[in-house]
Amino acid sequence: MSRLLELDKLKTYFYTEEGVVLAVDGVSFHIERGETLGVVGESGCGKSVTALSILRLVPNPPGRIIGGDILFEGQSILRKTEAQMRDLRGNDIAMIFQEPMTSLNPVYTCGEQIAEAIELHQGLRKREALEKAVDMLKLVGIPGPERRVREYPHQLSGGMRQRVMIAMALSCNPKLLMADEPTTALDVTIQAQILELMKDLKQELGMAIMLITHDLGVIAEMAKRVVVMYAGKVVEEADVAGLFRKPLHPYTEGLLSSIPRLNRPQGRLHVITGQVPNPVNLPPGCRFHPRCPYTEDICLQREPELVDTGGGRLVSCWVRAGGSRAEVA
Amino acid sequence: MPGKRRQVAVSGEEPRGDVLVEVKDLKKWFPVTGGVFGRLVGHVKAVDGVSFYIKPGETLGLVGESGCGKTTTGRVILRLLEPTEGAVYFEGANIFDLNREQMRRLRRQMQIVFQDPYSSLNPRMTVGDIVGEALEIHGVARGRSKEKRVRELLDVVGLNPQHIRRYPHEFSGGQRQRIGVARALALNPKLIICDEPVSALDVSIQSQILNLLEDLQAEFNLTYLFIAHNLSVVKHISDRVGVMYLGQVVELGGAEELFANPLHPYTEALLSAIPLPDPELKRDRIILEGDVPSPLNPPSGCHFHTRCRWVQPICRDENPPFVDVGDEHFVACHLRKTREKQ
Repeated sequence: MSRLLELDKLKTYFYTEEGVVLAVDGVSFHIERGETLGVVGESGCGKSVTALSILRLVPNPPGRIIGGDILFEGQSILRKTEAQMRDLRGNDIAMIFQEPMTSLNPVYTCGEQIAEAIELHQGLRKREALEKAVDMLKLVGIPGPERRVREYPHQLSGGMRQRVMIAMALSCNPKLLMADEPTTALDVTIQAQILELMKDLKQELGMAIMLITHDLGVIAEMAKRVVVMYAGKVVEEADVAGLFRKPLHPYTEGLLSSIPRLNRPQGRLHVITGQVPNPVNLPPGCRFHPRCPYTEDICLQREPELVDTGGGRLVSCWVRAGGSRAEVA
Repeated sequence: MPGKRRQVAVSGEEPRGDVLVEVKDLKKWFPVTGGVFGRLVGHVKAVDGVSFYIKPGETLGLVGESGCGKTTTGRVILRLLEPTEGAVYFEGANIFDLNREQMRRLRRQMQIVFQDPYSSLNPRMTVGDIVGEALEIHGVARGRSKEKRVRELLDVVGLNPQHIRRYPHEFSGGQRQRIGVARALALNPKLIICDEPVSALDVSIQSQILNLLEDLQAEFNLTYLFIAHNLSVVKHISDRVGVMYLGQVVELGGAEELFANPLHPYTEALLSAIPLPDPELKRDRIILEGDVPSPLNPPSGCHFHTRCRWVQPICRDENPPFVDVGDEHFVACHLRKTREKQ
């Protein structure tokens, strides 16, 4: 059977007045059926645009997918018609957004919003769809679902709203759930509830999850495999244990050592010097080289490729992926 | 006054001599009105009987979830909000007894760094004006000498002094937060209240600002009240940490001690809820049920009893006293002693 999702050198650019923003610039990774893939990176690294590209929801203009391909169950998403895409969105691929406050429509009840997708994709009548909505609310652990289904988003707390979002996303049994910073706007104790809920539902329903976050703690807890993005590129891919035990890319290494740890003693925090580069004016060669402590001459001149170093570990670095340099020379 | 008065075991009536700031039984209730005539229908008890002290040169961290009252506590200490009840002693004097002029002079000693570096800087003012404004208002420096001092300050926080005529939008988030820090430092304050100073920043920028705050503290002997919801950050920077829940401090102790040996069930749950960046670590998680109750109508007795897994009848009736269990480790829980024996 083919892989669930495969991104092949995807390029999504934004054509703005300031210049061309290379938001996603040759990103390749894949997701197996039923697995949780974590996508980490700081703001502006292209992780959310990658997810929007998969659903073909990049606002155009100014954005455009200009290269590469996205294969979902072996079929190119980029070659589908708009009608076929509508069939796919919310049905096979569902998404949860960061802000549960703004991604629900304030003038419809929670039930109506969940039922809409069910009616559309599963051909149920309104009454049946609303009954299914109650079941979904029960599934995501909302107390008194019969009452809540008739309530409006403003009557719910942040954690409850995120549960409604999850209920909506899961209502059509998607094969892939993309969660873009699903817990960032929530308090820690509520975040713990939502993460636990996502784990349980994944067990129960068997969908794959693409978890986009900047929080390395959430990644460590949820993901099996991790993709690290920096300035529109994948810089490293690894299994979660390997990544945290021995990060290969200097950016990943810097990121891991710059977070304060609760469970181990720590002196002064490590600092990645400088700032994330301006996406309109990226540095030549390796995009991380101005902030990298190991920079060599070649890093300034040529962009490194994502190289397989064995055991499912890929890294894009001249210094750390030793073998590739010999080939180049 | 509704409800039982909370016992305070922090100290007696007199302010302590060895501390810079002492907060005593502080309350800030916001009135809630309703109906056509704006009748008073209740109070949001944002801060509901908080007591702690901050020693000179130390960092006291204040953690809690949204709505727990940590930000309001910070604002009342600066008297940006008037308290409903209680006292705040700064170097022994109750700041709520001061008149306008005295308060204005005291403000030199206490400054604040805000959370959002985007909305807390006036976009129409240059960096020089933003950082120098307080110098002028307090008559410390103007003209050339003001500019000289601003350049010094920019250098101290790691910005290029030549950027003095630039506007906030020309800087990145991390750099803007440095401008906020420079502004707070301008008057050589003793106390700086840092209200979520790194939560809006990316991980790699966070550590830059945390290190800067530590360096400045060492250099200028600053005292920080560090308010944040991120426990890892608070533990890293604080000497002592207070945990707030629904307007009250439920536990306070040395940072290492509190995180290694949490005594309050809420602290325990909060600590176990944080996802740790360590995939090979296995641990038991305490998942709290439900949401934080509304501060408009907090639960009777111990505010945490509705979500506590150890709850006993006494917890519903009586607000537990905030007691020192040794080594300046305070906790407000009826069941501490019985749980210790188990």
